[in-house]
Amino acid sequence: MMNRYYFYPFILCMLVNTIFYVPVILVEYRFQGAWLAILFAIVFGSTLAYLFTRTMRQFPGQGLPEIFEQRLPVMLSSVISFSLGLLWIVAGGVVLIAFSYIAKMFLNPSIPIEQLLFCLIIVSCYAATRSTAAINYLSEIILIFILPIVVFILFKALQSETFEWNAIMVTTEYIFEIPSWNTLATAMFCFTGYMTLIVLNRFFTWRISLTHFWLVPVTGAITLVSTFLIPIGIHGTQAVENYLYLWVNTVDSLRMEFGFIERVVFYYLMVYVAVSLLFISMSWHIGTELVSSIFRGQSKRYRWIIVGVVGIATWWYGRLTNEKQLIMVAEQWFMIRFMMELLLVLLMVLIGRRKQ
Amino acid sequence: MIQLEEIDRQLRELSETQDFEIQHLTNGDLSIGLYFYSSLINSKLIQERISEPFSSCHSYSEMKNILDAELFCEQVLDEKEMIPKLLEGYSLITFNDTFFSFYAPKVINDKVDYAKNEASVQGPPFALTEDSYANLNLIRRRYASSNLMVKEKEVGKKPKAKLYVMYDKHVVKETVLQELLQKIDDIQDEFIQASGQLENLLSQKKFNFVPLMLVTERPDRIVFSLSQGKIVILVNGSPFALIAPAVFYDFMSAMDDRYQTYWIGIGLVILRYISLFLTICLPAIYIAVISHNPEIFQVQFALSIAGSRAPVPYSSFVEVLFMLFLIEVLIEASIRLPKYIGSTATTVGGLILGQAAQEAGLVSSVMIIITSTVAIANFVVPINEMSFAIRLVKYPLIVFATLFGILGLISGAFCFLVYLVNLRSYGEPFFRLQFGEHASTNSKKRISG
Repeated sequence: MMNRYYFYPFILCMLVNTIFYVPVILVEYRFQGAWLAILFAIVFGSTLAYLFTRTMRQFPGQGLPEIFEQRLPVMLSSVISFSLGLLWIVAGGVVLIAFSYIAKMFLNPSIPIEQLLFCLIIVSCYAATRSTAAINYLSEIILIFILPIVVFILFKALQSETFEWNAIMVTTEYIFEIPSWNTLATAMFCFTGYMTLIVLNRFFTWRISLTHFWLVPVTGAITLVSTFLIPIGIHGTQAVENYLYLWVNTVDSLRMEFGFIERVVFYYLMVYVAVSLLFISMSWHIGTELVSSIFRGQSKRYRWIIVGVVGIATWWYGRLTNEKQLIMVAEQWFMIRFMMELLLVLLMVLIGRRKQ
Repeated sequence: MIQLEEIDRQLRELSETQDFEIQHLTNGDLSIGLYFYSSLINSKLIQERISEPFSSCHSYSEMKNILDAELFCEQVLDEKEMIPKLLEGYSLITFNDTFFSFYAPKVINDKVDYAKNEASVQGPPFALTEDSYANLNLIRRRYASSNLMVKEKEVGKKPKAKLYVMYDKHVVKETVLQELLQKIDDIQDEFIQASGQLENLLSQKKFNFVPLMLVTERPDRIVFSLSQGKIVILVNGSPFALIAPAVFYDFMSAMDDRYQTYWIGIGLVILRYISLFLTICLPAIYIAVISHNPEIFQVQFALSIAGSRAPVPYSSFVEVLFMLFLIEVLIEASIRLPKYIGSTATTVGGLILGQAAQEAGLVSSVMIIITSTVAIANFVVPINEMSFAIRLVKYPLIVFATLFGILGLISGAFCFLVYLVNLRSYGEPFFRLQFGEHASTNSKKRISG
């Protein structure tokens, strides 16, 4: 039963993809191979996840730095740890900035963006410096509360009067277009939850069982397909590309006449404050753990310094940037992540082979 | 060998206080000396067991035989143990340069009374007493198992306090037990009178605001905890026991939950968690909705709240802080007041003041409802110390909500969750969901993987 903690990072990455511009990018390529990208992503993503988990479970209770310690030269392992850490820190930063734009637009128009960034950064820094076990318990508690609401929103969207199946049928005519690497890398983000094992594996002191692994491709497929199709169904095949905050606008078209809160978008926003904070905390936690592993002294002060630097950098970048740049950063990030992930899985499979 | 001059000196010193009695009995042939604190001694017992047999004695050896045969009577072989014994309720008997101690205590605080802080509908109604022997009796009578171990400990500087550490040796986690015993030995400074005080001294962090050990007065909860492998500490003179390790759920469950049918028990727990949510979040929600996001609710509802706030000149957080301050003061006052005045205070404060504040246009009528909900929901938490801790949590949330609206409210709640989740009570994660596992502290049955 303790194995359930393995799945929460997956669910978290799947949930956060609507903030992380995955649907926006997919919708942009809806006539240029988004369908096949989704299909490939499901196959490749779960295969990579499966291979990686199988390797990592040979090292129960060890994160990436501990595994590398005796098997790779110090320089190489430091470079890998640092770049992976940076990758995750940037992921958290992008989500943080993206969500503070959403908050500015839909929740607190009167508060300056600097203050919203400040609020999210302070909370995330605090959470990111907690213990790995705490991050796991936290994600369980938050996801348990959130998942019913998310499922309800999806259900509500499918029930909506404005939901048009024809609009979706139109996109299926472009089903055999060959996707670009970019699109594929973007779609694969949904399956990137397994990457959290590079640090969270410290928590898994037992051998992770893979009997329920089928859940990963199934939920991944549902998430990808629904985050891609529901906006198209609601806004229409052409109009859908006009929206920057695609999912917020999609959910904002839903209404609950007899609900305590009438506009469904507020459920969505409230859920996504928590989801974003959780994702940022988890990614920054992974980032700080990896980066601080380079400095041998594992003191608490290092983590605070790293998190502080990250927080200030994010705040600074959040003030300067705008949504357009942020989407470009996200796209670049997906590409880099895609390549690093392939290399990492390859490396880990080799290390696992050698151990056997 | 015992030093007579030293004993003489000590007894002379003791006799400076008025309630120290020195009696010399003679029956014609022999004479013995009796020393005791009259305030600690049951004189009837001494009369029956010592002076009556003595009156028919004819030689010292006969008297020594009588005392040797007496229960709770033994020869004193070390002058150092004399004073502690006298203070515990022993009396000292001396003749022919030999010293005997005889246990004849007068205990008046061992009367079992109804549980006042953790009342129960169907559970056993009685609580612990102030006397540790009576408490040990209450617990061992319920927990009829030879696995139940009792360790006696003395802590603090003079005067030392007596503790009894109890555990079931088959299910207790050995590392936790050792850690706890070590911590008890490390305590030096204070004179311990209450379980809560001991908890503060034992806690790992200095600035803690959620209790990590459970304070209870119910023997059935103690026994249940023992069977779960937890450790119970009794403080002599305190009618409360300390239980460690404790998880958050322990504070949220009443013993009644187990005595009801399954769904009623579950329903009660859910009710408590909803109340917990309300008491923590409601003032902050009010501020966030009024000051930042009035569009969240339906238009009619938003308008009616705005209508009730029409005469209120201040922004919502002033209103909330004003009302919450009043209610906190009211609660604090009614705890310490004598019972008869207490009810007057609540009537004056709760009914009249609330009504008047609303009519005077200081607060809105919705705020009155929220304040009372917050106060009532707070009392639903079954363990008092947690209920006190929860009282504090809403204020940081109010600050967050005032600054950042709904975003701040959820961020604040997130912070609180992070704080809870990161806590550990003697190695056990304090706050996490458990399903499919056995009770967290039951280490022998723990499943991993």
